[in-house]
This record gives sequence, structure tokens and C-alpha cells, in this order.
Amino acid sequence: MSSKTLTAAAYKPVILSILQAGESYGYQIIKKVRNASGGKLEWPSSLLYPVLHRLEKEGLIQSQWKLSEKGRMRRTYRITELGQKELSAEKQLWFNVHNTLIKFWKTAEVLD
Amino acid sequence: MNNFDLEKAIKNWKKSLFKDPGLEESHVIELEEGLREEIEELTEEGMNEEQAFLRASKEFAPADVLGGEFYKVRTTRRSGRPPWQAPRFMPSLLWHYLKTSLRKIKRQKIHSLINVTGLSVGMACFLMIMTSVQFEMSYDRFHEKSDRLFRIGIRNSEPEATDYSITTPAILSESLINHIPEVKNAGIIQRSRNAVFQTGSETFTEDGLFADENFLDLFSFELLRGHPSEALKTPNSVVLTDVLAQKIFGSEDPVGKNLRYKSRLLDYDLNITGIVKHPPKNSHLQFDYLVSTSTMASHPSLSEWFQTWDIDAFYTYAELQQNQSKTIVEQKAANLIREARPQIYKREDPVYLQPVTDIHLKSQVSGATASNNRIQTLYFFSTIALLILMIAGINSMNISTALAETRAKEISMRKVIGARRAQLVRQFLGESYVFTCLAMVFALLIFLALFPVFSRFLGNDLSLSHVEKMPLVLSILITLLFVGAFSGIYPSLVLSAFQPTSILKKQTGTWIRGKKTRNLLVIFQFSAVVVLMIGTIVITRQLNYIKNKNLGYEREHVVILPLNEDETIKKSQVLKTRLLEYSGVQRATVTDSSPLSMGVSIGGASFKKENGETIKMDYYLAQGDHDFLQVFGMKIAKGRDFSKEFTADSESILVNEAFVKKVGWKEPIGKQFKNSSVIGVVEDFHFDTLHKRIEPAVFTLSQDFFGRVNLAVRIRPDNPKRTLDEIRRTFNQTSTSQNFNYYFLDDAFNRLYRNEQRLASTISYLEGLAIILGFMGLFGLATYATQRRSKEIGIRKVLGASALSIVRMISSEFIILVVVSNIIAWPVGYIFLRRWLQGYAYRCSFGFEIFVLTGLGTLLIALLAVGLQTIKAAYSNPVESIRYE
Repeated sequence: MSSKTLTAAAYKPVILSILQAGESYGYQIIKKVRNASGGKLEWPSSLLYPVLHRLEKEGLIQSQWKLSEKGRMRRTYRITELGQKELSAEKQLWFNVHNTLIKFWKTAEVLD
Repeated sequence: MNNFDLEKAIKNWKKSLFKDPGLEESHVIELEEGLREEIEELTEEGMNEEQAFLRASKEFAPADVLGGEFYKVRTTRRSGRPPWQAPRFMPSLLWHYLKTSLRKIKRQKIHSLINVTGLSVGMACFLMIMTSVQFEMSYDRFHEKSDRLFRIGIRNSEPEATDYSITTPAILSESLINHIPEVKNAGIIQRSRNAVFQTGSETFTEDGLFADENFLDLFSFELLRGHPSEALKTPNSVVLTDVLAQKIFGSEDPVGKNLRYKSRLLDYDLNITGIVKHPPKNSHLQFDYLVSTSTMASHPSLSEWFQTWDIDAFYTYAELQQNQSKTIVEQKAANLIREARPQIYKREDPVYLQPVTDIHLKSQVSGATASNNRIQTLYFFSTIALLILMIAGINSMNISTALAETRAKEISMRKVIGARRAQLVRQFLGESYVFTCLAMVFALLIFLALFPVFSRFLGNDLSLSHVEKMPLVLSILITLLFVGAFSGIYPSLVLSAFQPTSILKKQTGTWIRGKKTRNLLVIFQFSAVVVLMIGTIVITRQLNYIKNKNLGYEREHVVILPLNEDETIKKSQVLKTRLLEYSGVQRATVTDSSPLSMGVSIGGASFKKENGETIKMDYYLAQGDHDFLQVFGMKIAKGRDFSKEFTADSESILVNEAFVKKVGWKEPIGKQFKNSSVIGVVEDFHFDTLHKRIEPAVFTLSQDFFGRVNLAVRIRPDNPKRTLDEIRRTFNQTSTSQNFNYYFLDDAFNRLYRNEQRLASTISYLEGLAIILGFMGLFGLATYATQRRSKEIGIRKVLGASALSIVRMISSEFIILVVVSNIIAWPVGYIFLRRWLQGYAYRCSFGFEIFVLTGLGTLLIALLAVGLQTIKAAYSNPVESIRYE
């Protein structure tokens, strides 16, 4: 598994987590990811938009057109109930992965 | 100041996004919002608008990637590839063209079939002919020194003549090397036919060459064993080809072994000094073995040949220092031979250096009509190949323009949506290439399956293994490129020029511009068919003329037994007497000549005419016995034949009428020639192909043979098989060493015309092909014409037109085209075939009836092609065709 596929897999939990904190929109989500990862998770940011559409199609999030403070149309996204369930499942999964790896790496350090 | 306009830049950016069909308006609005926010943020950080825009827009993936991603979300397709995007391995337009043209093939089945069959047959034919031609042109180019190698020819002494003889004195080669510094090396060759090799009890009859020690240096025949400059140096040396060595010795090592060699003149134990690779098929020199010429020189009665200028018995080849010095060498060699034999070579330029690479195709060797000037046949075939390819290409062209109407709406839609003309041209060219490639696949299948058959037909008997791969691949690519462009460019220009407004308004009349050109193309096509047809008729006629012409002798029922060995020749008269005891044998003669090949050709004898003028006489000498003329059925015009009653006849001669004419005798009987008196004049008979005029000939009663010897037997026509068996039995009883071997005179005669025979049959097959292709094209056009006018036909019928008048109406258009093409093709065909017939000294008639015949033939074909469709249309129920309006 290349790291690129891993980052791509991380899209879903990341977006869902951001939306869990409240309604958001494309550029804001991009910025939040950028800030949170300190630029370490490198996504071609514009490709986030199709991902949002996919999640919406899967019913995990919901979109709405709203007027921004600058008077422009803006598509905002909100997490759905199904999305929340999916997020906790994802959370569990990522924790499991994380815990397993940490154990190995720690024992590896001891053994060194 | 910077005059960057942010709004404009964003607008352009949006425009670029809209180009991708995967992006919908809502997507773009969403993306734009993101872009704007980022720009605002960046400008707040202190960047100017331009930098901010550039940086922000750089974050966005290209439109097609974005569009693809959005499409992926919407679609249920497994691959997720939008249909408007090409699969990753193909440029996008190509994919599209491929799809539309495959659709076109599906919808227009008949036309596609005509198109693809025509093109594939045409291209297969073209490729096969071109591959053969390419092989013919490759002759003798494998010699490393091929550009500097020349064969010495001695020009015919008639100042007008272009032919030359290639037999030269043996010492010419040495003198060239010694006296002309521009000549680097030279060598002599003589043919050795039907020599018998003997080892133990086995005998092998083979053809080879006598060659001197320079041979292997001049020519690049690969010597597998032995030393190139030593192998042919000493007397009694022989070099075998690997094939013959294998045949005689099997797996044993032959080098150093002895081999008994028997021919007409020589009988030797030869020592094998080397093994040479069998000459490649594209070498004009073919041999199974090479015997050193010094073997011949050491023979007591032949050594004279190597010291005199008076015997022309060898072919001389010379290698020059550089090929530019050809004319200088010709000049110097001319001086050399004029000095040696001043009375013979009176011509200004007696010596001709023939490039070795010209020998196969461009020879003009006196007397060797069958192998001369092969290039003409090559031109013939290449022209036909090109014509067939063009006929097929025109079919394809005509069909695409004719079908334009069915695509008018497509073209208009494309134009309205924004296709540029160049794009449309590209599209139609692309379609043409799809067709061509498809046809090429079939063409290659045909090529693979038929090439050996076809090549035997053309006379060079090649198999695929002889074909060099690179030129073939190259010619395939060039054919593909050419045919695709040829059949595609015109239709694409016509189709792309349509005006969408007029088409969508149904002003159909304004754009049937293709019709005029289409008619011109049909005319061209049929002209080609007519020319080929005239060619077929004339060539066949000339061949029949040859076959049935009275040649001055009777060639049926004559069996010729070549006698190869001295022992058999000594017994020839005994054999003759024994054969005459059979009822099936009428007459027999022992002679060195037959009407097809006269014994010895004597060149350059001087003769003093009665008016005191000295002329140079070239004549043929035939030696035989008393029965010579009667066996071959030649007639005496004046005087008498040889007779046993006159013992002095052995000192007398007969001459032919051409001889009498040449020397200008009014009363030939009793005249002297070379100390012999003339007792009779033989009626002229042809002793070469009809390409040649009849030459002077002298007949003597001599059995002192020099060249080959034949026993010619005239048998009774009934039961030739039994007679032949009797002859065979007697022969085997009489001669112990030589194998029985015979041929019929008329078979040999037919072989002389093998080239013409082959030419005729090949041309007639290719003509058949051209006719079929032309027929198909016309059929396609007629189908289209009736379809297009089906409503008109319906209305005419409703208003009372008869079926016949409708057939006439539609057919007449095409008939006119065929008539016009006939009128154009007649003079062309006449000029070409006139020139071809000029090559024969005796020609068949070439009258107007041939043109009438071709005219009627093509009309018939056209009527058939057009009639089938129009009759169907004319008899259809008008209700069917006009119901829908």
C-alpha cells in the first residue's frame, strides 16, 4: 500500500470529522486540513470537491446552497446521521490500526 | 502599473473548466467560490491579485481530471471513464473517429463491403507485385564491389543497333589489367552445361562455370572452405557449392578429394580445392561448381583459345578503380581491341561496359531475346499494380462522397456545435485510414496466402523466405499512408465544405458538388479498365499469331536427344540407323543445330561483294547430315538439298534466303563462299523468337562438331509414347555412359515464349480483377443513385412513366461515362500496345475491331452493374417510396 492510497483513504474520516464539528464548505475544509496537518498531508486540494460529492451520494453528508457573507453562492455541507455512524466506525478502524502499529513499533524499539 | 483584471482571469478560468463535459455549472460555481476565497486570503496576506490568482488556480487540477472525478461520482460505469474521454492509451480524437467510422461501417454494409474488399484486394495485389519487383531490382547488388563491376560487351557493328554480344576473347581480361590502369581487376567465365561428375559408380549431371583465379575476388560469393585466390588457380581445380558437395559426398569432408569430370570437351580428374556457398537467387550467375579456366587452357586443343584474339568464347568481367572512369575505360578498351583486330571492330564505340547490376534487367545481348530487357515487363506490372490500386482507391473515394448526403446532418451538427473545417477534414481522413487499415489486415492475409502462387505466376518463383523484411514493411507502411490519403483527401475536402445553414434548410441542391469530380473519377477508372482490356486482347492475339504462324519448318512430332558424351557422339550414326528400323520413326539426323538454336554463330567474317564492296558478315552455321532439312521440314527454294548421290557435297554448302539477300547474289547457285560452292538455297525459316528478323545462315554436311550435338528424330504422330519407349530402349542399348534425355521441339518452342505467355496470363487475370473492382464501384454508385432518387422514381411512376423509361433514365448517366472513358482510353491503349508490338519483327494485326470489342465489353459490364439496381428500383411499388411524405 503506497502512502498515496493511504492519504486517499484518510479523506473520508478527515472530512467527516471536520463536519462533525459543524457545517462547513469546500475551501474551509481544505484550509482546516492544511492547518491541522501542518501541510504534511499533501492533497491536490481541488480534488476534495469530487470527494465531497461522492460522500453526499453515499448519504454520509448533505449539501445546501447558501449565500456567503460576500454575497456569493456557496455550497455548504453537513454531516448526516448515517455519516456519524460511519465516522464512529471509521474511528474505531483507524484506532485499531494505530494501536496495533504502535505496539509493534514499541516492542521493536525495546528489542533494538 | 500592472493591468491585471482579476474578473477576466476568473472568467477565462471558468471557461476552461466548462470545456470538460464532466463539469456541470453547479460544480464550477462551487469551485469558483473556493478559488475566490483563497485569492482573497492570499491578497490579505499581502500578495497582489495576479500572484494570488496564479497561486490559487495552480492548486486546481486540470479541467479534464476534475471533470473525470466528478463524472466518476455520478456514473455507474465500472471503469469510471467518461465516454467522451479516450481510453488512456489513445489520443482523444482518434478514439472518437474510430467509433464514428465503425458505426458508419455498421450502417452502410454494402458500401463498406465494396470499399474494404476493393481496397484489400487492390493492396494485396499491389504489395505482391511490388515485392516481386523489388526482388527483381535487387539482382547482383549483394556483391561488395557491385558499383564498380562491369561486364564487357562488344557492340553490334551496325551503327544503329543497340545490342551487343558478351562473348569476348580470353586474353581481353589480361590485357585490360595490363594496359589500362583504371582497371583494377578482371576475370573470365565460361558456362559449363550438363557436365557429368563421377565418383565411384554414381554420376551427377550439373551446370556450372569455368572461372579464373580472380573470380572469387571480383564477386562476393562466400567461400566456405579454401583460399579465394588459390582455389581456382591451378589446372584441374574445382570448387563445389555446399549444396552439390552435400549431394555428392553427404556429410564427408570433400576438400582434397578427387572427382571425375566429363563434358563435351574435357575429361579430367579434378581436385576439390574449396567449397563455396550456393549463389543467392538474385545472382545472375548461377552455378553448382566452378572449374578453373587453367584446366581448359592446359587442354592441347583448347590452349589456343587463350592466346588468340580471334575466338570469342568467354565472358569478361572487370572491376574498375572507381565507377566514374567507365567511359575512359570503354575508350581505352576499344583502342585495345581495334589494335588487335582492326578489320573487325569498325564501329566508333565497340566496347560497352555494362554495370553488373544492370545485367538482370537491362541486358541487350544479341540473340538472347528471352532474357533481354526484363525491365519492360517490370514496368508493365508496376503500372498495372498502380492502376489497380487507384481503381480501388477511387471506389472508396466515390462511395464516401456519394454517401455524403446521408451524413450531411451529422456534418452540419458538428459545424454548428463548433467543429472547425480542419477538424472535419481530420475526421474524414481518419475514417479513410480506418478503412484502409482494416483492408490492409485482409490484404496481408491474402498476401501471406497467395504470394508464392502469385510469384510463380510472375515468373520469379519466390517464397516468403526470399522476401527481405525491411523493404516489405516499408512498402506496407507507404501503401497504407498513400491509399489512406488518396481515398480520403478528396471526400474529406468535399464533406467538410458543406454549409450547415443550407443543409439544415434542406437546400440539398447546393452541395452536390462532388458529382462532377465523381464522374471524372469513374471515367478515369473505366479508362484504366479499357486500356488493360485492350492490352489483354492484343497480347493474347500476338501470342496466337506466333503459335499459328508458319515459321518455315514443322515443329510438331520432333524429338531431340542431346548427346553429351564423346562416346555417345561417336556412336550417333549407329544409333540413327537403329532407330530408323522402327516404324514409328520417320527420319533422324545428327546435327549441332535445331531451328530454335543454330549451331555456331560466326561474327565479323569479312565478305567481298560482287560490286567490290567489303561487308562484315554475321551468320549462323548449322552442321548436320543429309537428313537435316527433311527432319525439320524445311524447304528448298532454289537448287537442291544435299544428296548421297553427289560425293562432292561434303565440300558444298546450302545457304538461306536471308544470306543471299545480304550478299546480294542474283544467281546464288554455284557461287563460292569460303571456298565452298553453294548448291541450294533454303527457304527462310525463323530460328529465334519472332522478336528477331531472320539472319543469314549456312548449312554444311559436316560431322566435325564443335559445340553441342543433338540427334533429332521425326516420329509418326500416332502413338508417340510407344515410339518414345522404343527410342529410349535403343538409346540405352547403344550408349552405356549417358542417361537418356529428350525434349520435344514444340515444347522448347513454347518455352521461348514463356515470358510472353506469362505476361499474357498475368495481365488477363489482373484485368479480370480490375473489371471486378470497376464493376463493384459502379454498382455502389448505382445503388446510391437509385436510393437517392427513389421518391422521384415513385412520382414518375405514379404519373405514368414506364419501367423501361426509368431504367433508361438512370442508366444513361452511367453509360455516357463509360462511353467517354472508352474514347479516352482507345488512343492511350493504341500508343502503348503499338510500342509493345514494335518489339516483334513480325506482328499480328491491330485493327479497329479490338476497340469495338472493348467498347462493347465495358458497356455490357456497366449495364450489368447499373441495371441490377435500376431495374429493381423501376419495378418497385411507388407507394413504398412516396408513402412517407
